[in-house]
Amino acid sequence: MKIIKLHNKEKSLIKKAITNNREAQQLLFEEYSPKMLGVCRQYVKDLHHAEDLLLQGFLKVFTNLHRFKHEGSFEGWIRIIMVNTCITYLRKKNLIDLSDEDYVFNDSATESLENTSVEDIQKLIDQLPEGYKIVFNLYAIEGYKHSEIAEKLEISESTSKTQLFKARKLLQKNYIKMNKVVHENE
Amino acid sequence: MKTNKLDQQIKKKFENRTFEPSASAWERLSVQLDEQPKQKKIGWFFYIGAAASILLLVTIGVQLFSKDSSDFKPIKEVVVKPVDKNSIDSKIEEFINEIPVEEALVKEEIDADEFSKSEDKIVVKNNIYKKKRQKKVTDKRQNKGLAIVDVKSEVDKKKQQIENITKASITKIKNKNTKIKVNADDLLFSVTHTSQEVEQYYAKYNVDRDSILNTIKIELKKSDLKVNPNTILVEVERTIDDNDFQNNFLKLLKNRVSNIASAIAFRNN
Repeated sequence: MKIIKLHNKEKSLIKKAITNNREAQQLLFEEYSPKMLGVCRQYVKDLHHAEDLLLQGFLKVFTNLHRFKHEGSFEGWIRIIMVNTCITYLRKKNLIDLSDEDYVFNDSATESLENTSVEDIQKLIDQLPEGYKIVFNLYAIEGYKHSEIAEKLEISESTSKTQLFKARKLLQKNYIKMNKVVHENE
Repeated sequence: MKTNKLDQQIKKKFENRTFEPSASAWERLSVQLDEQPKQKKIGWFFYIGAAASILLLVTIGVQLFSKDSSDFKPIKEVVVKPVDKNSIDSKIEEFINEIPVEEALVKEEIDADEFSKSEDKIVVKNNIYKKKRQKKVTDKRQNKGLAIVDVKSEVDKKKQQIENITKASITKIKNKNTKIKVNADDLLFSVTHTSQEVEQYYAKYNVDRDSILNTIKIELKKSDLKVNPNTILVEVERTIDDNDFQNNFLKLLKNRVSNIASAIAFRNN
């Protein structure tokens, strides 16, 4: 019952927000902005920069709200807009380098990430080249298929696959490096 | 599978990660949203304005067009019609004047012949009658008869021409040209003076009808015109009361001889 009530509440909020009701818009913003800022942060290292992208994304959300057909979850819809906003920004800035770079990494290093904090993992991801990072984010976190990633970034599917593979390897390598530093410090 | 585990582990870690946006974040978004609808509203008004102006232009255009057309129509009636009438009328008149002269000449030639036999008869001028008379023409007149036939054929040609020209516009005139039958007796009767008036005139100047008729004949011979003297006489008698005419009787009589020829011709057609 609670879920249904929440859903109905959200629906009416969206309806009001479509008519440019500032209050409803603010409520929706407050509801989803923390999570979405997290999404943006995945793509951009600087949090202030990420917030700029978040606002850009929400502007798109509110101006295109009438196009939301209530078919999927509202959060999922907003999330797609946020990811697209980030990718568009990165592509415009030519920050995505999808050239193949050879990274030599240790194959044996595979420890559980469970004890690692989110921010540490974020740091690991931040260390990735932009191309690797985006493909990894889209594939591992957003759950896109390689074909979808290829279409979004205008690359071939095989490039998407190799970028993902290399991203994982680099992440592992960096993770081991980080752990070593931590252990040495201990 | 290891790598997939890695993916899933990372995904799980990120699933519930949140960052609280800065305090000014909503304010900034609100300002941006304020700017957005304004643009939209301007767009809305712009489209309405554009539609209204197009409608206005169309309305003005239609009104101007309708005014133009209403202006043109009277001009068409005023300018085109008179031109048509004039040209057609002039052409018709041309032919009417042309043909009858020859026809009249032919007719009067025969009339002159007939006249010697029956003086008192006023000639009836219609085509059927004329044809009958042509048959009566003697052998001596055969050459002239041929000439008549020639003239007749020419007349027919011209009649055809008139028909072609007038067919489209004035059918009445066409009918007149081709089939009119005027009884000259009636016509002359209606235009002449009463016999009393004529007798009074003759008495006044000490002349009689025969002597005037002879004068007319002489004049006709002089001017080589073949017109029925009787017709001239009647025409002369009609204008007896004219002062000018009385003073210059003979002079005007000569003029009348030539004038009368075309006048009769016109009547016949």
